[in-house]
Amino acid sequence: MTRRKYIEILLQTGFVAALPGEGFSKVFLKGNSDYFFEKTQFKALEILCQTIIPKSETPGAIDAGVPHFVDMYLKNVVSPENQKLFEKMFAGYLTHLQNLKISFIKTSKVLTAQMEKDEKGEHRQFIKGLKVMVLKGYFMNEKAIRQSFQYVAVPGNYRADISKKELGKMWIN
Amino acid sequence: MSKGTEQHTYDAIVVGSGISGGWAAKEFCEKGLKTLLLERGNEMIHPNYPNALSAPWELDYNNELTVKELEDYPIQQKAWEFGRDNHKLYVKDTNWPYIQKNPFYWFRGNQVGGKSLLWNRNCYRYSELDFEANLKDGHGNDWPIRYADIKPWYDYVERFVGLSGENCELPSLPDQILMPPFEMNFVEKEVKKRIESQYKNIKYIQARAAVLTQAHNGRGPCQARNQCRRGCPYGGYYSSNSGAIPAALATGNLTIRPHSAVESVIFDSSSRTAKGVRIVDTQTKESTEFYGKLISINASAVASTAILLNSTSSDFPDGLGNTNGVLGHYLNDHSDSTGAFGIAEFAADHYSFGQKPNPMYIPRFRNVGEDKQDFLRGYAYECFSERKTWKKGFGQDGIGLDFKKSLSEAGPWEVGFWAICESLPNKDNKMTLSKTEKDPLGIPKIEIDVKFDENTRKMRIDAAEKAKELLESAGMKHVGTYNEDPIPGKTIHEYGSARMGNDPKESILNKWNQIHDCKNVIVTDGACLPSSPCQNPSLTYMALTARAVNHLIEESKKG
Repeated sequence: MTRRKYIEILLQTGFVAALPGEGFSKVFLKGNSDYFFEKTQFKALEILCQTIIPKSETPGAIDAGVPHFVDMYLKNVVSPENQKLFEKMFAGYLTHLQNLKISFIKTSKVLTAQMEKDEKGEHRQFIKGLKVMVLKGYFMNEKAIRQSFQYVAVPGNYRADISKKELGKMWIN
Repeated sequence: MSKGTEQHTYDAIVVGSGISGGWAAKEFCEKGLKTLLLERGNEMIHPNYPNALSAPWELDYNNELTVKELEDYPIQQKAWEFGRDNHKLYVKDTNWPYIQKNPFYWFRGNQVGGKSLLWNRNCYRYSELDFEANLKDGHGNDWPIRYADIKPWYDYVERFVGLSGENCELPSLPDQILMPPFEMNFVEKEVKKRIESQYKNIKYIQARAAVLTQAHNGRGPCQARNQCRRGCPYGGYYSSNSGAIPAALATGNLTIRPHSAVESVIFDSSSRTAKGVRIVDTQTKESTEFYGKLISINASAVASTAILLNSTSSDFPDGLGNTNGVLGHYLNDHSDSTGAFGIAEFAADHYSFGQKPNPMYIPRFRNVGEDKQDFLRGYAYECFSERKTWKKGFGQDGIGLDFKKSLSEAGPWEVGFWAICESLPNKDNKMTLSKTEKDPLGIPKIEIDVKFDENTRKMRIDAAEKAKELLESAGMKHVGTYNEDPIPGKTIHEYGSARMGNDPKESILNKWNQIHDCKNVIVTDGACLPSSPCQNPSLTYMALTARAVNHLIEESKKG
């Protein structure tokens, strides 16, 4: 996925059209130029990431370093224009959750349900955009890849038509 | 001859080491000629390709480049498989800028082997239908050769390269020398049955590609890794690096000089021949001359033509061999990014392991035989089928455990037909050299002015609609079409800017790819084509190169 492709996804999902108006609190202003997010923002990001990819028998988003990936990805791979879009939408979404009095102390069924609902509603574009980055971050973590898939760097041969039982986990390299 | 001049003198000089330059070097060397192979890019020795074996977790940003890094690649980043893993195989646009009069994507390799490490490896012969097309419909000049002239050289090249795929006994797509293809997956088997039973004039075949399903000439076989774009350390597909260059080196006759940008060909007015080339070392910026009796220009269509345009002298004030003003005109490309896609719901219980690099292929059927359309020439489809894993999650709703679990499961079989459309030769499409702007090496910048025409527009619409019909006929669900605004250069099949022809008044090269007015120089890359049929062209470049070099050597022996 190239940066261009990423931007295409943002456009396709209507990221631009979904810009919230007000609600950008001072708490979200950046303080450290080495990172995209400031500390409070990052904590909220961690919870959103972990809600999208919770821990199970395979690593959760935090164990896989996804929040850090999203931070670096936004800072270094996303264009300045789209960084601004993301900041505004992120702030808008947190404001939305705060207005609903949804706790950010830990991930919860309540937050999961709310994000599922919001993904189908007015915050769809933000959640879709965040999910793209979360997935990219999660699936470049060795443990996550090896535990989720059958990682075989050099298959050696091609098996054209086999059953799921014969295959086992999906192949990836 | 001074010692310095002697050290810079070879029997033959080859400019460019990509898919055709590699062949020129091989043929010269195997015939006993001391040969200098000049390459603008870096050294690259098989099998040491950067990131060839890198795991996903070793490629930062999930294989993407940062905004800062991309500043050096404003054009190259648009290439179909550009990523962090292989970006160093592309030139930095900032090092080799050019001027777009109209949008034109010029993709360039940055190493010995050139784009032979980046091609999609499909190999098809042109047919008599293709060689006669210009003459019959009046677009472009008549090809100076016919299928019979090149057939032995197709045979010769295919035996060395090693192709796998499927023959289908179509007059419009000659059969080839092939090793067995990979087995088709379930979807492909079904689609083949369903399409070929309903359409008597359409074949859905295993693509023919320079991918080895068996070991061949010390290379391969393919390991089904799906990492061709990084260069294959197994030699599973053909490249100059894994094929022609090692063969040339084995003769002891080859000298490779990377970091050598050829500025111009040096013409000797008294002998009416070229005596060498002038280069700029891309690292030291020093200018140097090399001398040779025979010269093959294989820098890729645009770069080769630029070298000729820049080779001015009192005899050729507008560029070497350009007494007719044709040089630089007729530059064109295939157009792609039109077709359709759908879902093979019927195949949900079928899986595969590894990645088959050859897709399927539907040879041209438009304006063939009884078929008549409101556009000229035709298109072929490359046909893909795959099941995504985690990337399907980009468009999938869901949060939490169930969503996470679904990401490690296979998505539906996605099937796509991707058309490659022929474009008609057009004199208005051209490249020239800037009179005012120079690149960082001090060589005039190239100006490119190419647009697709109405014929292309009509063909692309038909290609999308027909793909939809075929996919629906084959039982796909949720079928949709696409037809992106085509940008010339994007297909990386640029051609025509120093075309062959029988008439020196309307062509630059003769039927042996020699410059009409300077016969010890040949051009055998895409620049030489009078037209570019919808088949992928690299095999024809290789065959024309082998043919031209061998003729040049025979002719030089006669004195």
